[in-house]
Amino acid sequence: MKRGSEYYPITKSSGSFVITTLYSIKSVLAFLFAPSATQRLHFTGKRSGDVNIPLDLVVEMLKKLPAKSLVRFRCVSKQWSSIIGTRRDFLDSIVTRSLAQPQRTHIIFHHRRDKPYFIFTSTTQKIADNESIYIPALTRSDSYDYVRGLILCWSYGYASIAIYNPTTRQALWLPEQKHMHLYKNICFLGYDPLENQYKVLSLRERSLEQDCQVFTLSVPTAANKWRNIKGIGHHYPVIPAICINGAIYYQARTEKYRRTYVLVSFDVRSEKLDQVKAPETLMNHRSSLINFHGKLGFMCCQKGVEIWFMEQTDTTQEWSRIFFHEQMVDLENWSGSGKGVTRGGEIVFFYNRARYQCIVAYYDPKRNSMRYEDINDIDPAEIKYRNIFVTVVTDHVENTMCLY
Amino acid sequence: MSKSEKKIVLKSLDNEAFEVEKAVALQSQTIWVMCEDKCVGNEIPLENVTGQILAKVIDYCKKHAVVDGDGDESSEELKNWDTEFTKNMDQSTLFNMILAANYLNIKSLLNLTCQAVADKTKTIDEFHTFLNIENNFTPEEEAQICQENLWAFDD
Repeated sequence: MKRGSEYYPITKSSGSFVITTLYSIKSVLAFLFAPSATQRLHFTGKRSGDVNIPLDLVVEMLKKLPAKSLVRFRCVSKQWSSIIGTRRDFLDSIVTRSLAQPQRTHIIFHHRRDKPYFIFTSTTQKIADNESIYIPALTRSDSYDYVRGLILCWSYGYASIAIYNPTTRQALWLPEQKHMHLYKNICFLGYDPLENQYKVLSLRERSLEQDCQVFTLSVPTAANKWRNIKGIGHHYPVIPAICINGAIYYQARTEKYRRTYVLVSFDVRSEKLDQVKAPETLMNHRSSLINFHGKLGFMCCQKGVEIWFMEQTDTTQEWSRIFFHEQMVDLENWSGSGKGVTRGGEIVFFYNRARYQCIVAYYDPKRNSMRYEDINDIDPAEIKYRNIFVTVVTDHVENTMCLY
Repeated sequence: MSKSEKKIVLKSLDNEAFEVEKAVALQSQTIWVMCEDKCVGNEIPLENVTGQILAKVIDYCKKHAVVDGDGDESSEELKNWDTEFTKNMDQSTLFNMILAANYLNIKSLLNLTCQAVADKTKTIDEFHTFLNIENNFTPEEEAQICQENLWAFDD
């Protein structure tokens, strides 16, 4: 595996972050000293097998393995490593397989104090469980963008941008951009299903024509660089964005301190930025963009709650308001830090109920009803005092894609 | 396809002959095509499957043929039967079952046996041994890739 000097695998021993988590230390020690584990590194060369299974059957078999086993079996041979980490039909089958599983909400808790780290965990498990992933914060940051199995970690105003794959626990630092440290930057992650490509779009806070840059994620990574693309003039992007059907959408202020907005799209394949016609509600109010049953939607909570979505054909874009409630049940603050929509159409929020309990709330617009999941392992005070930032991920899929 | 012949004889690689109901054998797409094309008589030679494996494949087909014809048996029961069916097979048998299911083109059996191998095979060594896969990493590459994926070895 060849890497450019800018790229570091997460387990590289020189990175102090490996050692910062007890969990990693434990597993490193267990691996080094347990005889059964070390044995796995030295194969006996015994060849008693008399079965010659064609490759396509091996691939079928691999598609049935749990993701953790797949990561382990990358060590079987170069061919297996390449099938598991790069073969398109294989990667797609793992993503599709996760979509068939019951949906679980995942949460990213970004702890900002002392040595920053984040935890990627599902709401159905305790944070202390092994399945929760403790990751030393990959950047100095607090911003996480989740798209189809990958997490973009970046910071507002700092140069380090990383992509993390929670399925394989690989991390990739993107190369630095020229002049980046001088300006506040905003990054978005997008995925184009046609060409099967992930791209990172980077904009300055005050986005000027010459300042949009794109980074394409492809292996080998060493050859990849930031490329400049044509912008669309002044606008002030607002986070978070959303990626739907090969396009990144984000709301942007027209002027820095004014509450008038435009909706901007970035086509991941053609790399073109464009302004999208949007209803007045979105132009005048801060709204949350949502994926509403595979379509771009938004939710605005300024006067009651409104949900809109966009019907799109090749030539037309039409918005319809599908939901409006003046009085909402139980939620004082809908514009909380988390948002998302489940496959069943429930709107998901993370919030701090009455400041003593962290809760994931699911609002079902059809029934105008709410259900809750308690998050017990997090101290609500930490969130109140902004020591922990929370990001809700409603559409997590496993993806064994190798990042480098 | 003539409906007069209800039984069919399947002959294994090692010349073991199995007489089975046609409905049982026809779950194999390969056999179905052979019969459809009338390219074989009442006896079908299966050159890639040993008698020991063929017997198991026939057991599976019999069970599934009965269920398909008779709606009384629940899918739950069938699932349990499938689990029991592969439970005590060793890896070598399972791999041979995969090959047979592939050759005979019985999708559900291929799925079942692939899943069983996936469930049973836990270590890298097992794959090297049973699938005759050459570990073509250099020791350095191997150490690196295993080191990077250390967490996945922790059960």
